[in-house]
Amino acid sequence: MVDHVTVLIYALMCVVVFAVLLTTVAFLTLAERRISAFMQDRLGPNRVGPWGLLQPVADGIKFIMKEDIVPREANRLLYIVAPLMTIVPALLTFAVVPFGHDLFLPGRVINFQIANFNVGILYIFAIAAMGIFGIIIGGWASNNKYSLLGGLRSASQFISYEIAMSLAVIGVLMVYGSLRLNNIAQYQGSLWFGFLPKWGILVQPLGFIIFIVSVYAETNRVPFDLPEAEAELVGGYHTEYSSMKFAFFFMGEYANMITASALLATLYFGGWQVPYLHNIGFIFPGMGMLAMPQWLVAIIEVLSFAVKVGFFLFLFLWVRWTLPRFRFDQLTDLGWKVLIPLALLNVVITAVLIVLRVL
Amino acid sequence: MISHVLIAIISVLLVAAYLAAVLAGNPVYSALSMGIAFFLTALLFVLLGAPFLAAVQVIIYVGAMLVLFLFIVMMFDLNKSSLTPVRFKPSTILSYFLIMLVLLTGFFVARSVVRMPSGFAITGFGSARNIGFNLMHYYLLPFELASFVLLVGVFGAIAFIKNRRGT
Repeated sequence: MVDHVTVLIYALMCVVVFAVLLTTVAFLTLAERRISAFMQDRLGPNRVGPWGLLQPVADGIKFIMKEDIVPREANRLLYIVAPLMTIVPALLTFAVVPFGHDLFLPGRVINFQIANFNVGILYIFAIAAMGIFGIIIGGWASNNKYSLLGGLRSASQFISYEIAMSLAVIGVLMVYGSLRLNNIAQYQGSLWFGFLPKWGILVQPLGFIIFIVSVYAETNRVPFDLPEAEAELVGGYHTEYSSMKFAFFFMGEYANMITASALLATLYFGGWQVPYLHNIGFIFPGMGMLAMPQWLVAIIEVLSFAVKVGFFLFLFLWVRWTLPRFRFDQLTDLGWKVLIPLALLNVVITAVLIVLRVL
Repeated sequence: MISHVLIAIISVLLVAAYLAAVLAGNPVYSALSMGIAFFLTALLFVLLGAPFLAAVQVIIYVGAMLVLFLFIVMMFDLNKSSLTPVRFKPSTILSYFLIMLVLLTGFFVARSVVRMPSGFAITGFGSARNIGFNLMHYYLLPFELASFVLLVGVFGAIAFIKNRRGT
């Protein structure tokens, strides 16, 4: 029986997660420019508010005030729908990401997760698969050859890297035996050989490398941002877009980055886990324990999740301003000839190790 | 009760989406309405208690097949419809009905002949664990045969490309 207070708590959680997600997207655009500036020995936008912190607000106002242009030869309906097809799935995927241990209150259990589906990670893949259509359709509906090329590149890139990404995740699923992200995070708290936390990065090192490379390709980030390669395709799929429609594509990309970072943290870095931290406090193997109240543990776990996601977001920016872009044939070769065979090898090795009871 | 109403609504929308896929003049519209139809099918799976099938339906059909379709279809010119519109001659409609009749007969025959394995509607029906267990135990041979057919398809595709390169 679902009681009203629980429903209210989850409704509130939806609002809070949504607000945090959008705020992070806004500040990520600022972080991108500030960090790229520091890497290139510049200052970056620092005029609006203290340290330029209000820059996202100024950007938002600017986007809304800009003229909204629809090219005359464009397919009007699909041209308008395409940005929405990007932003909506990008925001929906975060629903199954767990950001803390279950909280045991008197009379009820609260998941720190909006929806604990039993297909968990498959839900993310399914919704992300629908997000790619915004880019493809946007590129086609603009009726511009550069946009079309961007859309086509996006389509082929997505198909190539989705296979490698799914195969890499299969390794994780084999080790932890669950599709629920909540369970995957929970099992990573158990200890390996009595002292090592059983994090994904330790049991699936090859899978992690394959996954992170594929995720960079799936989110269209440098070094795989071929769909919007500005040196050859003007702006790629969003060449013709202006005003808020362009902002939607932009926000969709950053929201995807956040979900990707959350997935990297959940699958390979223990999600909200802190090594040796349990529901009742720290328990060090063979060295005694440090008791803590439950609310403190919950706060530490949510913070730990936030720090991990923040690190991977920083890694996204770091890589973008460090590595050059791939050529398109190199990109497809890497996907089909290197990553997919490696991912298959990873699955075989994992299966053998599980049969031998090492994992 | 609510789920019955939802299933009815989704079924009507599903038929409409597939009709739109066949009748649309613009190939991209056809592909997109097919995508909507795939998504509605996934919703039906969810309502029937098979979330795993729903997720796989969207990942495979929308995420892989439809992207490939669009990839080809997008090469057509935007303002010139490259498809000839469907013409409804009496013989066309008659043949549609005949095909429907054959399919429906097949469905009812299959339903009366094939018995569901006992313990089919147990708890966890439609879950990933249950589907995997059934595939690997009761349906191992059909499963392996299907993968063999797919393998032949892969070889065929590679053979096509090799011949192109050679000439």
